[in-house]
Amino acid sequence: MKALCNCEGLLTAFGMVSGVVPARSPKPILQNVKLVANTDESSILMGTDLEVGIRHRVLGMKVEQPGTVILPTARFGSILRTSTDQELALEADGDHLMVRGLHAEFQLPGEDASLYPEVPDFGASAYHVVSAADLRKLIRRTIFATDLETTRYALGGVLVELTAESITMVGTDGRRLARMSAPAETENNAPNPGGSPVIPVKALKLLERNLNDEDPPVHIAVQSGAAAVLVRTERAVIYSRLVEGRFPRYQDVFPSHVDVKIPLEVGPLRLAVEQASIVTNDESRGVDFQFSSGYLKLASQTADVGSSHIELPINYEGKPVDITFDPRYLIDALKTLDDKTSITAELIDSKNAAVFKTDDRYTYVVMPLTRDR
Amino acid sequence: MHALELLKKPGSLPVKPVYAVFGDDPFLRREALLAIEKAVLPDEDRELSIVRFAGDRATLADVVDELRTLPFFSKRRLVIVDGADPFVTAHRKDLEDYVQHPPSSGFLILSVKTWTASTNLAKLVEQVGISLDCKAPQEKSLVAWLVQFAKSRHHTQLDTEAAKLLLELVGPEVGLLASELEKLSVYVGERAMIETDDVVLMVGAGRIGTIWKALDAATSGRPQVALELLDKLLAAGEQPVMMVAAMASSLLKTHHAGYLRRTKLSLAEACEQAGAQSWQISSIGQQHTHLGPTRVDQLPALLSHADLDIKGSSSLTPRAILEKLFITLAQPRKD
Repeated sequence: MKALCNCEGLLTAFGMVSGVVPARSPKPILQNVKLVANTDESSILMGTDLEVGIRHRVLGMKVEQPGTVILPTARFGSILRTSTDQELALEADGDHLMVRGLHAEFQLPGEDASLYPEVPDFGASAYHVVSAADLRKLIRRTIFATDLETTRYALGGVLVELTAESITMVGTDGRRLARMSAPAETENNAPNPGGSPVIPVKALKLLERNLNDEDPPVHIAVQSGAAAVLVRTERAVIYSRLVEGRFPRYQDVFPSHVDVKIPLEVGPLRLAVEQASIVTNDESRGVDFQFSSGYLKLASQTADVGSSHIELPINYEGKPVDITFDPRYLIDALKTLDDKTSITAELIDSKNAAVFKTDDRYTYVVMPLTRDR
Repeated sequence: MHALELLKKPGSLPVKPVYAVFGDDPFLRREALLAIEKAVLPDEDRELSIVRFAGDRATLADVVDELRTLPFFSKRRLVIVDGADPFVTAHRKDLEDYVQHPPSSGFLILSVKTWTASTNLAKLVEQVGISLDCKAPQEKSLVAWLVQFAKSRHHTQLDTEAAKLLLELVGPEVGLLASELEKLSVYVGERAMIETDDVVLMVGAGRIGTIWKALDAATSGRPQVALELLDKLLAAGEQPVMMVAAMASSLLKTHHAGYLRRTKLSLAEACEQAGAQSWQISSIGQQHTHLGPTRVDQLPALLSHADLDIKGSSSLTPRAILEKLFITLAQPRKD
């Protein structure tokens, strides 16, 4: 393999791919990145931990002699980051990889590229199509509600429901649940995936980093037989195994009716909740919310740390509702929304789930803390 | 309440807001925790409503807020603090307050090694909850327990003399006794009656140790050793059917733990949930490494085929069937 690489193009791809590479693995070859150099502008970098994998296009490569080479992640990454050259020459034989700049030269040990597992390419002819901006928003607004620490594996990912008209993503950790829907289309009448495909958080974070709002639409193919999902973006194909385990029947957590609907604005609400959470103690982080005519009062009282009382004017004239929340759960969701966004709190009482909705099909359900203390 | 009492009548544990599980017998602790989980969360999907904290890292707010958070996917929320000794020491006063005003939907298990009955917290737990003693029981109580346990857990009648012999051969460790009893019940099958001869055959005279040694050799890639031991066992008059039953009691745990590891449990957690003893963890890990996931998946089928073949489905001799099984297990993994 012999090629001249644009340093910036290679660094961009390398930064994305190296995020997947495991720091330690029983298969040491996985701790590297594989470069496939082709003469027809289709050179790609690959990285995988066997659960999640990525094939990322490398821009600006002039390939004199095509081939594949294994790049040691840490050392090659350092070379790219510290290089002041616009172009780097890569030359590999079976035993060594030479990296040359104008004033720097590195010789790295070569590895057998055939030992590197192939990251699946996007081969589906029927798939779902979603706008990149929508997909980014869906990921950002649901991923935080998952639970990576739990042994309840399905909660360590986001449920993806695809139909011919829409995509819905749902994340929950058993205390709160975030759901968002957006329009989707199908190519070649792609069928709705069976079962409950749950995509792991690691893959979704990687996908979100690969997306820009102005990118062309993203293609999604769920392989139910292989229990995997493939996503094609403008620059990359991302492969991920689906999370094993059954996702809970999340539809059951939405209250069948609500007593009050309170219009709020995200920015002021988030600020008030953050202020109220400053004074919480070791025994409980609960903050009392009192919704009443014209005002939302937030109060936290502790024996040893002090107390806080925050008032927020609201456009509400209905019956008063008192409810206690762990403020972290509200802040997590509010941070994913623009400050000017309107959000509606749908409440029953202190013993039922609170539902927050925005106009763009986002629903966030939080279980309150019991007030019998 | 001693956990042995609980095991006599599974399903009889009342639902209480707080439980303390203490003592050093790992089998009894596991059974006690399982009994509480089933009592508090009788639904099948109880894993979704159980949250575990490590006692040396959990903060009071984490635990109490989890308990006070109204349940999401069921009617109750169960919080288990494992290794809760440092947690109890650090938050004894707050826990005393909590125990006096527990929420109606949150249920707490403090899983500790030591639990001093004279402390205020222990007295309060006795009032509103249940403390389950999982210390190793006295030997004299074990015969009656074995008979009762065989009946309630395996629906099998255990002869008192057989129970005494079992205790003599195995020793007073409850987990080992339960494991031997499980093996015996598999062996007697529909006969549902374990007699002294069964114990002699299955647990007697070190033969079982030889079977496990042969199995260990096969599942660690040493076919020659495995076949030599098999030869000795058969020469000593060991029954091939019994040998398969003995191997099944061990290999099914290897299989179950392998399945659980695929769902991202650690080796120790998977072994514990599969019912293996702590001293079996490293050998199960070695078996997984040697066999590889495909063969670990196939273990029940391999055992089932060997069992049926020995009972007449195959024209091969029992020796050949067992040799074939050992060679299949001893071959290097291909995945």
